[in-house]
Amino acid sequence: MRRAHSVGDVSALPKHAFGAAAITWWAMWGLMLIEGITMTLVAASYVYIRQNFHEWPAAHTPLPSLGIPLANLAIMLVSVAPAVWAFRAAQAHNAVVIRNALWIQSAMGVVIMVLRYVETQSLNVRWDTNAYGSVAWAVLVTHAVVMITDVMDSIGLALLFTLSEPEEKHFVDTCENSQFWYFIVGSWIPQFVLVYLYPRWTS
Amino acid sequence: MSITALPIPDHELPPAVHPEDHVELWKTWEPRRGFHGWLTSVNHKSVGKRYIATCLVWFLFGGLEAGVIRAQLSRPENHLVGPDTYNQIFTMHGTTMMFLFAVPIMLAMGLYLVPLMVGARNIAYPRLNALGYWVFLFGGSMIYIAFFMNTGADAGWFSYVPLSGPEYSSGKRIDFWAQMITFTEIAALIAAIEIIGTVLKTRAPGMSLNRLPLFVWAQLVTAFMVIFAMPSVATGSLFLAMDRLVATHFFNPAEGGDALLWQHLFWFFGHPEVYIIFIPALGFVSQIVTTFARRPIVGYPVMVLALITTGFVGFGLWVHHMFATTVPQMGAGFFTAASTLIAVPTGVQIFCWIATIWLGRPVWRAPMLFVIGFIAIFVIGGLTGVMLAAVPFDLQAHDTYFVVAHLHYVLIGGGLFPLFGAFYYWFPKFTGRLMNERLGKLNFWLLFIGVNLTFFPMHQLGLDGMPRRVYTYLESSGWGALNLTASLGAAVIVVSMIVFVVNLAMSWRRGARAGPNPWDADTLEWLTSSPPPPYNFADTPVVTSRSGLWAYDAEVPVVTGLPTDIPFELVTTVMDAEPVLRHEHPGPTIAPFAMGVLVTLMLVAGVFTPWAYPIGFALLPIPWLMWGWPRRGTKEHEQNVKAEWSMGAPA
Repeated sequence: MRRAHSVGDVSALPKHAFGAAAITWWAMWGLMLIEGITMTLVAASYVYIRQNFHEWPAAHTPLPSLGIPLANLAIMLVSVAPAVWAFRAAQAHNAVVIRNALWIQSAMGVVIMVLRYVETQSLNVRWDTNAYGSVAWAVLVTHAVVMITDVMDSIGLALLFTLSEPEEKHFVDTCENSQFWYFIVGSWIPQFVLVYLYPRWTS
Repeated sequence: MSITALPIPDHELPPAVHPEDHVELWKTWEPRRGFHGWLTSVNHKSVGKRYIATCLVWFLFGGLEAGVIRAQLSRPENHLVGPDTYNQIFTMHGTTMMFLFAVPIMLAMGLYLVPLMVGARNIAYPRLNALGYWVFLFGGSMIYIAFFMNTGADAGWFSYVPLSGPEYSSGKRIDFWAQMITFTEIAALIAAIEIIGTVLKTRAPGMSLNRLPLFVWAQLVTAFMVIFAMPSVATGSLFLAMDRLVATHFFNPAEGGDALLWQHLFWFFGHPEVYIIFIPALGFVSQIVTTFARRPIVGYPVMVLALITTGFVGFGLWVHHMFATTVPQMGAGFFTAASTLIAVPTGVQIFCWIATIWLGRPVWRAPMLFVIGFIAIFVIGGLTGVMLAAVPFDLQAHDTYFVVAHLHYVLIGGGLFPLFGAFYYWFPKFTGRLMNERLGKLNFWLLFIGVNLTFFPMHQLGLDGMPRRVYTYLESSGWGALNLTASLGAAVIVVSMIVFVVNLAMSWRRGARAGPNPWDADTLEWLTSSPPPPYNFADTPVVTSRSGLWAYDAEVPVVTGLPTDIPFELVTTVMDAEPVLRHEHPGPTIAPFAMGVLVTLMLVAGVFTPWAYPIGFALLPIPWLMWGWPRRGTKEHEQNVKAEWSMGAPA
């Protein structure tokens, strides 16, 4: 064995940190990058397919309805509040507040998912009617799949903070879960504009 | 247990201020035994070795398919296989070599080597890493089970629509292909995140980005390319699967869909994929040249910039695969320029390697021979690439054997030769034994001769007008002699592969003992034993120079203070690798395997019914909770819980 001499002692370093110092934070950003690129590509496909149509939506296809999608967008924007609440409580290591915030966030997530299903009916076109229908559905479903993962994560963390003893790392996880939710809500806004408003400008 | 009872001789163990720490570290990090231990392992070396071995099995299958192709084409009007079987075989050959061998093995080498080369004890996200492997294994197995049941994909490795669409490809052949894409994309994206996290956050103190070994730089650039490229083919293959399964119209022109959308989505991934294979190979070459030229690489900053430039420009070339479609001339001109431009950073690196060898004291061992083979063959492939970048030439040569010759020169020269060099170079680290040098040289020469004999005549066949993917040809075409030459060349390649396998098997059992650093190389993986202990390094080494081990005196500088009774590793800053955290590693668990099985069931069932997806997602929380639920009573749990958190008291 080669001999070694110590030039530093790291035993006083913390075991956990919030933000970019944490190793998991980078995985979260990696996932957001992958999912953001995927959603961008689906949106780009929407615009690409648009070129094949004289009218948009396609002829004899009604415009998407706005009521439910707008309501769902509003709920999504409001759902950022419990996510912020959980984020701040996690940094303060306040387990009770985290638990409550996570359950509210999870419940809102489930409502948003159910409304997303109803939203597909608001498109007023089936996925198999024409390419317009296919790609409009694709935008909604792709975002929904990303959303499901974070809703499941929120529910899992809420269960953990309710039924088990949280470890230090779960506070970090809670912060990252909130940040991911900001991404999900933020990324939906341009897609909402694309699917529901853009056809109104070009029809 | 004492230090002398460990499976590695104590004089080969990695440096430690307190040598007795090895005993406790071994107990803490030692993988579980038996079949259950095998299923639950999350150590990057176990996962990496399995990944590499699995890729080599697919490589064998892909090679056998190539053998059938060359046997079929060895003479005109041959009927060894019929057109339907031939379609499946060439599709499986291309699919296997690209998706199940070339890309994953380059990443797998990174999953094994990168943590060692940056001085880490394990990969950044060990459980996720294990999941990536299981998904990869199951995805490859799925498409081969389908193939053996006469449901092999048959529309070429890039599955152009409308041929691969529901109208022209009935049955489930293409569905399995599209789903295989999903499996391999998940695996590749996981590997990319692993490498980015490991490189940016777990480097040894002192290993600032400007001291990163070039192979690690190459893996980092590749990982970012994977993240930007793979979602494109995943999106495309999902659209294709949905067109086939639930009658969407993404690629159906009759309902406003667009066949060219598939080509854009595929090639926006497909061309960067070439660099995803090639850039890690450049990293292999840089490490091998440094070690065997016995001097630091010439032009390190330029080499790094060349890798990054290649990564960026690699995304600006995809349309050159589509010159035969209706892309506007202006656009084609741009992609011609970019396709020519990318030769520049590669050329810069070749000059740097040549300068390093010129200024060094080269030792011509087997890995170095493969590097020379790489330079010779890849330069030919690069030159024909520049030819194909010109639209007028491309329109003539498109879909002919000229393209087949070009892509094999590029991929075999730019990928396979460096990979074989890497096998010979790192085999001692994997196994503790050196490969046989004479057999290695024989392996090299046979491969070099075989590759040129096989693929060089294909340039002429392409110029003579022989199209790709025909299962036979008429005698009057005059292509018989060159095809026979190519087939004889393939036989030589087969012999070279047999030599490699024999060498592998013999060296594994009876090769000369390597010791920690048989090549006197400079990177950190050579500081630890061969093979490394489960924890890689006892105390984290401190990097004092870009020259790594060559800069050390008799004593190795290290940092101490990581716990030994729980798996911990050091987390450092992104730019300068200054220690900031002690990170606890998750232990072995069955959860990644369980999740891999569930994902597989969902995706395989998804070939037949869309209901597989909602049901699959509904079940995902089960392995998800297994994955992350805290285990009460364990040492890890008790040390990380404070009573006041449970009661909700603010800190």
